[in-house]
Amino acid sequence: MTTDTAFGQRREWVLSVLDRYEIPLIRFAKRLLGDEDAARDVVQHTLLRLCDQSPEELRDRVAPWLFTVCRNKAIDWMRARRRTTPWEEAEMPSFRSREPDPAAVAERHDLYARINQVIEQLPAGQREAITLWAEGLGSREIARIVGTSEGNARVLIHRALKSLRQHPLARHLLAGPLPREIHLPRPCGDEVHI
Amino acid sequence: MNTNHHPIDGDQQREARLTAYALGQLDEQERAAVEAELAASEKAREEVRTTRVLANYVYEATCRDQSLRPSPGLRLAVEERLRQLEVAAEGGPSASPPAKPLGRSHRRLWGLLALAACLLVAAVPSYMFLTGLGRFGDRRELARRELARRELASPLSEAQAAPEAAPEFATGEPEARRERAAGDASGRLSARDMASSEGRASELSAVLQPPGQPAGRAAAMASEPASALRPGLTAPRENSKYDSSSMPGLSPGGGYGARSSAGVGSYGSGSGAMPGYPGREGGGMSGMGGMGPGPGAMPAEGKPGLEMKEMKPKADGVFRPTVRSDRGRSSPASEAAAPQAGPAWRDASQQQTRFQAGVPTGQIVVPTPSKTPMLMPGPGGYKLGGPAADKKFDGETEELLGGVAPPGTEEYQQIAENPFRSATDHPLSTFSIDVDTASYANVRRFLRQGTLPPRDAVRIEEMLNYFPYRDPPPKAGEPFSVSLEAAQCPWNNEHRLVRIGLAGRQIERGQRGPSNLVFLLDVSGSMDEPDKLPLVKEAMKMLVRELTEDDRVAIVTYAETTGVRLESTNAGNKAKILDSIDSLTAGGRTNGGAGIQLAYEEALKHFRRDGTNRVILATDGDLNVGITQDDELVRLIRDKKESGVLLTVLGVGTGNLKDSKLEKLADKGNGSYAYLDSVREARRVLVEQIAGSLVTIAKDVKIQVEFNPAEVASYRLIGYENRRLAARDFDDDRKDAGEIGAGHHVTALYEIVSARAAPTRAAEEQPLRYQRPAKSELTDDARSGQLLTLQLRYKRPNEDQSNLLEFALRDAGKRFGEASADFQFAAAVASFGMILRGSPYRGQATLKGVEEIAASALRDDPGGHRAEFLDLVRGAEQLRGHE
Repeated sequence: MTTDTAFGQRREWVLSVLDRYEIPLIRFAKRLLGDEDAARDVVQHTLLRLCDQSPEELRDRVAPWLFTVCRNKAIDWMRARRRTTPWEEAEMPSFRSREPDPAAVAERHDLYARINQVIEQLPAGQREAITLWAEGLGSREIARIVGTSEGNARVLIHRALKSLRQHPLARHLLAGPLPREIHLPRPCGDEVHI
Repeated sequence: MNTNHHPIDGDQQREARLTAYALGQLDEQERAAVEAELAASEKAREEVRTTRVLANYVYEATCRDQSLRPSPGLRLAVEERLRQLEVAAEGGPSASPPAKPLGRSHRRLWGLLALAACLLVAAVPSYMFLTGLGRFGDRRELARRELARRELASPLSEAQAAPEAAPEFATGEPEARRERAAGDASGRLSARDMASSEGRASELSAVLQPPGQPAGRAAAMASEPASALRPGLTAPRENSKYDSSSMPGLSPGGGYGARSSAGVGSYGSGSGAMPGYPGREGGGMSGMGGMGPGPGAMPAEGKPGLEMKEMKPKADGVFRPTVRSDRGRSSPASEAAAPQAGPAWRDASQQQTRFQAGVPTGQIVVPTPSKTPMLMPGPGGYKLGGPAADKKFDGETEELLGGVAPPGTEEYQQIAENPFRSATDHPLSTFSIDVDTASYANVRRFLRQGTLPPRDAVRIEEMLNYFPYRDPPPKAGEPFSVSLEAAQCPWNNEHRLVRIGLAGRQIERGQRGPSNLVFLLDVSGSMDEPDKLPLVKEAMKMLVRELTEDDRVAIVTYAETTGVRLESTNAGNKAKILDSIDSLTAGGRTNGGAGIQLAYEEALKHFRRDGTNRVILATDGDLNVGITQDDELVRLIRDKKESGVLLTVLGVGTGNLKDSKLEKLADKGNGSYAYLDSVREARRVLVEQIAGSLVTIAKDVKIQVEFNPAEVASYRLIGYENRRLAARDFDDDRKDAGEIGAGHHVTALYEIVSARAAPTRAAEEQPLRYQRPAKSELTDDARSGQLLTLQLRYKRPNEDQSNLLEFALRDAGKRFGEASADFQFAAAVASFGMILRGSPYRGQATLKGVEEIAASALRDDPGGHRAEFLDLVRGAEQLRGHE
């Protein structure tokens, strides 16, 4: 349609938000739920809810709003299907080697996939904090999304990195040659070189 | 949500702030403060550097994952919703179309698209439903084809150029192209990586081969892994036995769950250091290979260079404890430390230890096992002989091993054996004691059936602890005695072996105290085999006959229906109980969780504060519940343990034994796990050892050994892999550990490389890239000539604070033949276990050697169990002979 009408504008806005955030939301939901199909469902619900929002109200807060709604939907989904959500389970990372056979393990060659697997095994609080950070959200935003204080959000991120640091994979990465440039997320997704 | 609200102490805040700085999240003010801190501390700067690197990887892995594609129906669904809202608000799409050239066809296209969208939105979920967890690509393909079909069917096909249609097709085509490209790229990458990681895998497994390899070749290989591992995006050393598989304690099948994660961690930190330092490891190996005296030069008067100091205390080599009134830590300070969800692989020894000051660097030394031949007992004492003369040695034992798979659907927790650790870098070895005996009985079952046991069915500590030893009884008032002995190691005669022996207080029949027992029996269909339910029934009846009217017995069965079969009955009324047992039959599916609940309730109903309260669970382990329910079961047991009701687990059956699960249940429930392979074993566990099975004399028993680097270059704890604890857990009374029952014996063995025999390591070390190892200083105590200090903590059954015992050991340089029968027999059992496991640490051990040592140690055979062991060894030899 056209951008002249209010609905035209909203449509443009929703679609551009969708383009920008659909994949990050699916990633986030997938980290929470461990299930890609469920993640897509949750993200669909989230983006449909976005349609009801007015661009003027949400302007700057779109990202935190999206992740908050997505997270809530994920919790609902989990409660409907299981009795406990990951947050209510143990706080220790549950790293495990599923393949006792070294040959099978050596086949998993993709470094990023392996890092993701390690991240997926973090306790829920750490996992979601570090994921939200990677998606470009700041500590204050993360704190609001997960419903805690900013200090606590920082601690969660810190703990996540600490947990990861001591996994053998991380030790290996740190022992090897360092990446030439360090890329870290800038607020809402753009990279910044350090 | 609860886990987000732990109290945070100042230290964590500070650490978190440092991390936030590293991630660029701080405002100016905070940044200035942190930068001041960084200026003062190299360690903090290093921390920031590594945090950034790690964060970079996390960010890239999270956000650069190319495999996620947009959901196909999503955009359409959103557009549809927007259209609905617009219709609702404005009363019709035609209300405000501007004057645009494509106005009308616009509308029609929009209408058709909306129709298509509706159909698609309906189609997509139903397709998803139909395919369940179907592949995403299929759906997208279907959606695209569907849409294309509808478009072609409409007369407006030329409107494909229109912007509304464009998004769909625009995303369609380039997507496919992009995906293919990415696929190819990743395909190529994977092939390359696979090749290199496979290459590394074979290199590494070659480096870690058992003894047959010449040291020179090991050194040559060491340089290869060094270069192969360095380059960036390649798979880590998960093909190493000590790496990823050093995490087993953390998986559901692990020994202590959250507890052992701490334990595994402290070793994980050590082995985790390996990936970066293969060169050093190789260097260490070649170094050790060069040092031993040649074959035939058996040390005559004890080890060269070892001081022949007299052992201070008595000639029987038993050290009496000095009981320090040092209570364990469970203060608020440690409360604050608890919420640290930080994982447990921390390097344990940051603390001041008795023998050295300074920070260990976490390096590993793997000595090459010497190739001098095994000591063999002979008429005039010990002589050289055996495998060095026997050309077939390596081939034989290799054939024997061969990685037998568990039969049927049996399950075993994978064990990664403890490696050698440097006494300088890892002076503390901490573990929980264990009185389970299931592994020995299970191994016996396999051998008697004529097959070798699966590697992970062999837990050496459980084999050692199956046997009673002649350790002296404890002094009056003490729950156990501790004995220490050091002598030559028979499978690697350059090394020393240290045996730690605990002997629990015996309890006379009449002194047992009242027992409140609940038999929790699995009567599901799978138990309907002669070596299962009938055996369990016989075992229960044997136990009941030993009870008195001070005791009570209840029976709870679980299968499809779960219920109290027999209410708690005074054991004076034997007939009633025996009849109830007799009437049990198997059938139906299993529902373990409900049964456990009920059993504990029954036990609590008649709880005896002055006696033993126990649930005795007998099952083949097939609780037949799903994974999430497994975790619930474990949690249930852990909660129940708090009530003071203990758990004994009896495993039965072949072909379906869930060994890993049963061991875990026993651990969580403050209990022990035994395997009943025969009526005779049932008699041993439930009649002969009834006091041990029913009465706990000490709980949460932990051992911490500090090795003196002046005397010990490196050490290896044999077995107890699932029992390891982090060093700091030793003093933490909230950390659970094993229980010791009346009359139980516990044995632990350390293999030790003496510092005087090993060359200094400095020569072989590869320089590190990011740090210079801190030189640690030895304290005065290190010059005492002591080999190690053993600390032991235990709690009396009704107390919550631990008591501490401490002993020191000096090595008198005994040869193997001079050691006690207990020592020799334990060494034989450990050798046997290592051979069955195919352990790379088995040195020169052979079945023949084990047989000869066990035979000579038979001069003292409490209970006749050692003779049976000898039979098993001979049986294993025959099995090997048939291959």
